[in-house]
Amino acid sequence: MTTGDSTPARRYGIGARTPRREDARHLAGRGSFVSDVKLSGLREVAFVRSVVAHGRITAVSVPDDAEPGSVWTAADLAQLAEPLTATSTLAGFRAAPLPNLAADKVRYVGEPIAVAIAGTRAEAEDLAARITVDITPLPAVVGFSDALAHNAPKVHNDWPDNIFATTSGDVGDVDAAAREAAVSVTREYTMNRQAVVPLEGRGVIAHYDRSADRLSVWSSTQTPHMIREMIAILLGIEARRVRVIAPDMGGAFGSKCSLYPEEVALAAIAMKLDHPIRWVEDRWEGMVASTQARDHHYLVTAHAAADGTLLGVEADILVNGGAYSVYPWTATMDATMAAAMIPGPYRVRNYRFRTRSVAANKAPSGPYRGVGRPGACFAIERTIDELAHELGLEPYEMRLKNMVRPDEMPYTSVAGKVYDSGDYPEAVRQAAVLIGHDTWRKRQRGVPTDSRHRIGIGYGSCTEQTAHGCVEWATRGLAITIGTEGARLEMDATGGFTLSVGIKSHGQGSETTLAQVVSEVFDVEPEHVTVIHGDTALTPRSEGTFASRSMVMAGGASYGAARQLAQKVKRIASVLLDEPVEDLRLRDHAVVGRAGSLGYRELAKEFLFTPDHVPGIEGGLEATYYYRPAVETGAFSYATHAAVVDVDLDTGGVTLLDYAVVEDCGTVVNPLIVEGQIVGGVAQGIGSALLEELVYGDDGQPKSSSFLDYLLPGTTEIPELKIGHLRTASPNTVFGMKGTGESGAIMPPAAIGNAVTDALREFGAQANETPMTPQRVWTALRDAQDAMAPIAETVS
Amino acid sequence: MNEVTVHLTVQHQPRTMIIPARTTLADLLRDHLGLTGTHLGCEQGVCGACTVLLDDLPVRACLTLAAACEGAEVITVEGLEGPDAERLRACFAEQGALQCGFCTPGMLLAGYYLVRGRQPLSREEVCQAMSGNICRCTGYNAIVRAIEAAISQGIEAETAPAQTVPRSSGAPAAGTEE
Amino acid sequence: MKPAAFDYHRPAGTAEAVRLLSDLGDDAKVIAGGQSLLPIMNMRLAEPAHLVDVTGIAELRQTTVDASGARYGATTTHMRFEYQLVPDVTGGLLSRMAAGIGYQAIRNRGTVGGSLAHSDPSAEWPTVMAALDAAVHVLSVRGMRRVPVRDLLLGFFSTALEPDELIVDVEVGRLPASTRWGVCKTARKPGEFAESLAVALMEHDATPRIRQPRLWLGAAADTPVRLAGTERLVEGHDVDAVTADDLVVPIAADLGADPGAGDPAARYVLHLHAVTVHRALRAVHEEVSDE
Repeated sequence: MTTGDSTPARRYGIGARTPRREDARHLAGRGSFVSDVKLSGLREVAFVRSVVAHGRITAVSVPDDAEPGSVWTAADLAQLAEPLTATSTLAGFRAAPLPNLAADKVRYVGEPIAVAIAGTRAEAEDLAARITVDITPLPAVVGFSDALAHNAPKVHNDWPDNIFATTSGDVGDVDAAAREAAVSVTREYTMNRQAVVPLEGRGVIAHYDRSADRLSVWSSTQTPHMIREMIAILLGIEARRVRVIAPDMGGAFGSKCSLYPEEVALAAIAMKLDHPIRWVEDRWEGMVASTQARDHHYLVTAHAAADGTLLGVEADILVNGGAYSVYPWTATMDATMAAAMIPGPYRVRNYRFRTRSVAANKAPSGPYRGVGRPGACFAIERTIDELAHELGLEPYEMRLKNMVRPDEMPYTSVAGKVYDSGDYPEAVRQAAVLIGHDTWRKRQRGVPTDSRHRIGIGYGSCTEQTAHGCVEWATRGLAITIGTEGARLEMDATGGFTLSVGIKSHGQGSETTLAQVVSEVFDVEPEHVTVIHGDTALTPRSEGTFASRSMVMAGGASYGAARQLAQKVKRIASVLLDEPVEDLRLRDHAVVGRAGSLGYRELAKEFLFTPDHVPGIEGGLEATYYYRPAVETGAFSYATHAAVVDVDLDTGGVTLLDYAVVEDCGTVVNPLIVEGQIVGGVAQGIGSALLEELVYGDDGQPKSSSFLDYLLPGTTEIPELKIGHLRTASPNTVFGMKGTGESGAIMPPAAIGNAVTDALREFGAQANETPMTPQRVWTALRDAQDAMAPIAETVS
Repeated sequence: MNEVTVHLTVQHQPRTMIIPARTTLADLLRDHLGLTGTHLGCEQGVCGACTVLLDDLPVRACLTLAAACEGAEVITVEGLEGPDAERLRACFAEQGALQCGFCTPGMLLAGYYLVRGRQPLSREEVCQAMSGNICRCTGYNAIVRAIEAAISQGIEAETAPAQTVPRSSGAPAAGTEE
Repeated sequence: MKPAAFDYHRPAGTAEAVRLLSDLGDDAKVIAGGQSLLPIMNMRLAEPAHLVDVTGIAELRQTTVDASGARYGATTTHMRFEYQLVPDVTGGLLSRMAAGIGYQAIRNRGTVGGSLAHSDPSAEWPTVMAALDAAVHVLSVRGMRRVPVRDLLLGFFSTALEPDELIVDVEVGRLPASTRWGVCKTARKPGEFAESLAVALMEHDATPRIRQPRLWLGAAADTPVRLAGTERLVEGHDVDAVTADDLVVPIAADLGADPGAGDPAARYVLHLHAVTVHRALRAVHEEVSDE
């Protein structure tokens, strides 16, 4: 259900609900994912991985009868590829090389140790099972208290402690705010560790073609160009010899935008073989050796005046980054984002924070949809509700009172983020209407006290920085500062368009939305535009698809290229039609002048087959454009989510009764696709809120490493969402677009946590840890009742 | 011997395959017949991406040994044909019921089984019936709407009175009686 | 994630099957639907050297019914119980339990005999068949024997079956018209294994009184547990007068657990069992009062 979308129906171009170009092949089962690629002579890889969380490798024994070239260990790989080291410009940052294959020490269960190659995956697993690894276990560092303990074992021996980096800031005067406050609350929040779980795991094929002197690497990666350059650098060869191809991808959500040891190892080994090799991540590997996410802890204190004005916020943030920093993001990525987003969409001017990114014997953390924000949003939004409760305000009124207003835009937040545009309070107001706030409050009050169920209403609001440029990445210490995207558009001799972009669409439908950009400029149906992406040999250099940037950045580049090409097309038509360029328009597959018109097909044929007919125009019917936004602080999407829950007091089970989203992602390119991003994001956020948790034992053993024990939301867990739209064009981007890939996933833990807490207010129980499992909710309820019992007795 | 011979019908074509005994139906389809539309998402029987029709019933191809399919008839996404399949595909595209496409083959086969059942189902019943198929992209709303729409269209398109099976929210349609 | 290599055998009849099992000894494993075995083989947590596939044996799919009850062939799929394509001699209890097993696609292949032989205490069939005092008929080269399900299930993945024995069918007595049932499965999601699974049987006397209760609990120990002490406690009480909290102490006693355990997880689990048993009891009562 969708409301408030006033965009007039368009057949194509920006804003049209164009059917997806990608659908036909997937609906026919004709997608081509890494595991589907057919190559002659292809052999399959199985990795030998550590089953110990922390230990010293004493021996790796290869079976005597293994065929030459079928087993590779760290010793073999040492001469072929450098380990990967992610660095940061943050003061005091501690780097640690991420081995391609572990040599002396293992630091998490799942860390790759050796490579086994055979004709089939089953046979490769047979061979891998015969490679024996002796490991002397060391005490494992698992949780925050382990990692920060005075005498903690060290994940990296040469570090003084287990901290990647500490950051801090103190803006305004928090102490004065505290003195002035009518109410201050302090709360602790935990967002536990999650797997990212694209349904297709990672996969890599590597083949060195000796005749062409070219290493081709197929990888299920969001960042083909970055992978190409890093593989070349680590292998010590020029990047011209490396081609990376990302074929169809079964989702990624951030887990496929870091460079992985498996990619480097396969590339290095392939250089020594005369046949291609392929590794397809299985689900166990996906759960233990793909980058993981969240694992945040917050201690938040907030101060408010009696009228609800938020005066100041303090936050102490811990993020467990796992064993290594991934390239290029480093283990500090979540913490720096979380610190920046704790002030949320609010006009607070006094803010003090500290972040510590901690190392532990778990798989390295990497980006996951929302990066840092789901945790920060959970922490600040739960705290807003706590303040509202203390002050006797409706939580949504507390939000309305403190949110940045439209007349204050652009607004520089206390954390230095420049909110570009939008009406934040209006999203709250509309969310309250959409969810039916008053009706639910009435129903809530109508629940008899002897019922074993309670109803709760909760809100979560957040801003989401999208498509940020170089300056923003630099402030977070990234060694590579990301901020440009390229696109090349060519018109062929038949008047068709081929758009080449270096980003990688992995489910978000960029083949459709980027074609819509070309379609908008040239006034043609998207069916006439082929979008090539994910192949470094065919596309301009690119940084990749992440940070909700693809549509804004690659869309900006595509628009630039289309405009340049359009200009050239008009100049050609000007000669052929003998009309001035200013009089020409692009309409319905043709250049239209005052007197005549010329179809693209005829124009292209004339210009490319017989350039002598078009004197004075330089050759080539294509344009390449690199987009780098003038304002690099990003376009901020924002939204308010509202959730209504039923809590079963007997089991602690939480059921979503209703869920509403009011969002603003600026100008919408394709409503079908934007809605898909929102609903899909919310579903993942519901997973974070209620179901998904990577549990580790005290010995660092993962205890939820299969789909049998890591629960994902299914059809029965996701209600039909109510979605409302606000449309404030960003002043900083082409068409006013804002990214929206991550937004949906950010707010559900906050909205649901507030709803569960609202349901349990009479008992004094709070939902401050995700996932809010039945056991956690029931235990919180019981603990609160235990705590209240003596008081109640005294009163009676 | 580790090898077995199995006779089965795939997309209505009889096949005789000599395969390693440990080959699952999914790997037989993918590696031996090149039918890579059947996807492997977990190989633990949970995600449903590998769902195929085996003697008209949806099963997990990852949890079915190819050798155990002796004499059976297999339909994969590539062989899913006919008006029900086409209306389901059209509804998927129209509703936005796919993004990355990885779960889609399993969703289509599980959904097709419901469409072919010719029974009106509530949203809750569709959700229950589809609860064994994981999608990580769409958040399911569009998938559920697409299947609901295809079920309704299938019922409307039926000229003859619908043949009912008791409690048939997903009851077997044909060919399963001994 | 591929199974280790094995030899595959597809006997045409039970006699051939048990002869194979006898010849192959400990190295062989029977596979029926494979819905529990294949996941652990894919993960190489089980690496049998021989698989004896019994799904091709027609006699194992046969069901016979008489006045006293039914004998369900061991490879009868969950789906056939769910949709009552085999007669349900328990007034819908078997159908109801079957519908809760895994997902549709799993139920289309998984079998009752396979599930009992697998002996996972959080699965449906072990608990309900123990509650119904069902028995399996087991064949080997030494002949046939009848094993009550309560004696069959020895522990997690452990049964009283000899390595060469094959479950041929499951004998379930007809539930008298006077006996009513109620079940409750507590799971995080549909299709998941139970966190708690309660089956309650009792005699019908048109009042909310609990008469001759038989209470069985799954997912609580390494085999289904009869809650004998809890049965005695609730006997004769009005179902409305019993709360879930009342059941915590007797269930703990039946399970040999400490009801005062400080560990929050243990405390929750015990409480959840009490809630689940309570709901199963109420479900009996609700069925009765619906009439």
